This record gives sequence, structure tokens and C-alpha cells, in this order.
Amino acid sequence: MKSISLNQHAPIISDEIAGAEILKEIQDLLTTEDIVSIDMSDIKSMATFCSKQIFGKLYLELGAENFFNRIEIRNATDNVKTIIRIGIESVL
Amino acid sequence: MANKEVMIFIPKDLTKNNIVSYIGKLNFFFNIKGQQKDKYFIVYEKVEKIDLLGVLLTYKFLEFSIKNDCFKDPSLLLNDVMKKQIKRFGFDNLISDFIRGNEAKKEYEKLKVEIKDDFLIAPIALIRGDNNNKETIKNKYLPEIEKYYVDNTTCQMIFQVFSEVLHNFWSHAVNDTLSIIVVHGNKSKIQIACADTGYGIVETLRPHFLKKSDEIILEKSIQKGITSKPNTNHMGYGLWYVNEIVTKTKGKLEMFSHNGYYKNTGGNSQVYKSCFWKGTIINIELPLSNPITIKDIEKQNTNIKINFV
Repeated sequence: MKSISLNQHAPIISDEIAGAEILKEIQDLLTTEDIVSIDMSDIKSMATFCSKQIFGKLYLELGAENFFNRIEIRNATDNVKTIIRIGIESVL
Repeated sequence: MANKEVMIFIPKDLTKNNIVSYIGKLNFFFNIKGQQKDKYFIVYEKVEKIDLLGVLLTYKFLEFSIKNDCFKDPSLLLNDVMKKQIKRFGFDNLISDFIRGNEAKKEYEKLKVEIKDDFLIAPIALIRGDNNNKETIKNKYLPEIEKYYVDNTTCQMIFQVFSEVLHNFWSHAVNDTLSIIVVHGNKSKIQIACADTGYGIVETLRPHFLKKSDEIILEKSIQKGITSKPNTNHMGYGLWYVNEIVTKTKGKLEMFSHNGYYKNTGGNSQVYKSCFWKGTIINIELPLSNPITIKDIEKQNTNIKINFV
């Protein structure tokens, strides 16, 4: 398992470039690691666009089961958790 | 034959209550690009009241007219009320710099967050693709908001609105028609105002709503799932979400784009045909007594299994 922290993007993830960087970093790790743990402790909020861009895309690529088994999201606030769900829901 | 002088008298009230009339007075600027009109006088001397939105639009009119050579040898004559408010909201150096021809970019870099009893984030340009600009907003301005509003839910609500507004303007901004955001708040409310003179929400959505009026297109823009870029990562949630927050907190949202004007006051929303604004203006006022976040608005789909730890 490898952990990555999104704190360098804190307090908000709100633009396409940042979203693309985060997605690529996670995708790259998934090629060598079974599980990727994403630390979101300093992320206060995220544009719904970025949620779809990152988590929606990963959900589609991995499928429901692999997404659950291979992506671990740590320290997300309830607000950020909801935004992540919205991003995933929007691609289904 | 010498040109006749044209005097345009600006109304006494340049606050949000009278902003439509102010736009109507000066929006002919958008039709005189490159014409270098001579002997035009914009008379501000009767202005008695001007708020943050009035100052922002004053700057945008000025910026547009200078960048687009609307007038020959323009000069700016302001009364004391105007000068005081322009300084208060952090636009004074920006305006001087712009008139001197420095394109204001350097001044944006110097601008600061000012915190007394209330706080002000002086105008910031939203420059697409400029990482320094984005880093400045994230590392300098947002932490100050977090420090000022200690409460977590309040910060989350403000940041969510900020995220959506910034994303919207960053996505659609055209760099030579700078999008400007300015924020003013105190412990009980916060105001976020943005304006640009780019394509505007109405124009970007128009291909999806052919034959619809500007005000109807603007109304559509705040509906959930409406986006100018379907089949991309754009979801059409941003403005819908901002509007929901405004409704539930009994705040205010005003949007102008082309001939459309949308207004939501505490949940009572209406659209109007308005005078033309090239681009988009968004003005948001949020009371902070009962802050809410997206989890209070959107139902959770618990069928999606996510490994939150």
C-alpha cells in the first residue's frame, strides 16, 4: 500500500489542472500498488467538477469492487465525503 | 464641425439596489470598441452611495473602455464618496495603475487581505492557467478566511461556494477580459462579488438553448445538471449548489449576463430581462448565522461503496 497526501492542494481543490495532477498521481500508483491511500486531512472543500474528474474517473476505470478494495480515503470531512459521492454518482 | 460634448450623469445610488440602472448608463461602452470617442464626460460627482458591487463595476467599465480604446484621452473624475469607497475596497492602486498603463498586473500581486472588525480580500484577478495566481489565492487568501471564521461548518460553506465560483470563472475566463473576484465579510455575513467582460454564462449556454431568451438561459444555468460542456467532467452542479446555499441560508444571489438578470432573495427567485452586460456578474451574500454544507443539501447515495477510513 502506498499513501499520498493531497495537502499540497489544500484548502480547496477547485481547478482542472490540479484535478488532472491528482488523478494522474493516483493512476500511476495503481499500476504498481494494490492499494492507494489518499489523505485528505487538510482539504476543506472541492469543486464538484474535480470530484467527478478524479473519483468519478477512478470509479469508472476500476469498477465498484476494485474502487472499494484499492482506493482508501483517509481523513475526509463529511462535506468532502459527500462531494466525492456526488462525483462518482454523476458518472453512473 | 466640432463634436458636441456628451455628458453622462451617473445616478446618486451605485449600490446593489440600483445596479441595473448603473449598468444601463454605461453599457454603451460595449458597442464603441476602438472608436476613441471624443468629448465624452462620465460625471460621477452626484454619487452619494456606492458599495462593493458598485466599485467592482466601476473598475470593470473603466478597464473595458481603456483596453478597448473606447474614448480619446480618457480621464477619471471622482467625488470624495467614490474615492473613499474605492480606497476602502482596495481598488485605488489598481485603478491608478491601470490608468498609467501598467495593466494592473503588478498591483494584483501586492494586494492583501485586510482584517479589522470586518475583513476584505482586495480584488484578485482570476487568471486562467496562471499557477502563481492560483497559489496566491489558495495560500494567502483562503487561510485568512479560515483564521477569521473559526467555525468549521462556516468555513466549509464559504470554501464550497468559493470552489464553485472560482472553478466557474477559471473554466470560462478569457484572460484579456480579466475576471475579478472581491470578498468582504464580517462575523455575520460574507459577500463575494465577481465580474468579467468575457463570453458570459448566457453566451456559453446559448448553443444548448437556441431560441430561448437571455433571461431564460440564465435561469437554466442554475438548474442542476445544466452545463455548457456536457459529456465532459463538467456536471452543471456549481451554480445550482451556490443557489441552493443561498436559498437555505436566506442569502442573496444576483447574476447578470447579456440581457438576463437572475435574482434570488432568500429563496424567492426571479428572472428579468435586463440591460446588457457583456460577460457575467455574480454577487453572492451569505448570512452566517446558520451555515450549511453540501451534505445538508444533497441526499447521500449509500449504494456507492467507498472505503472512507
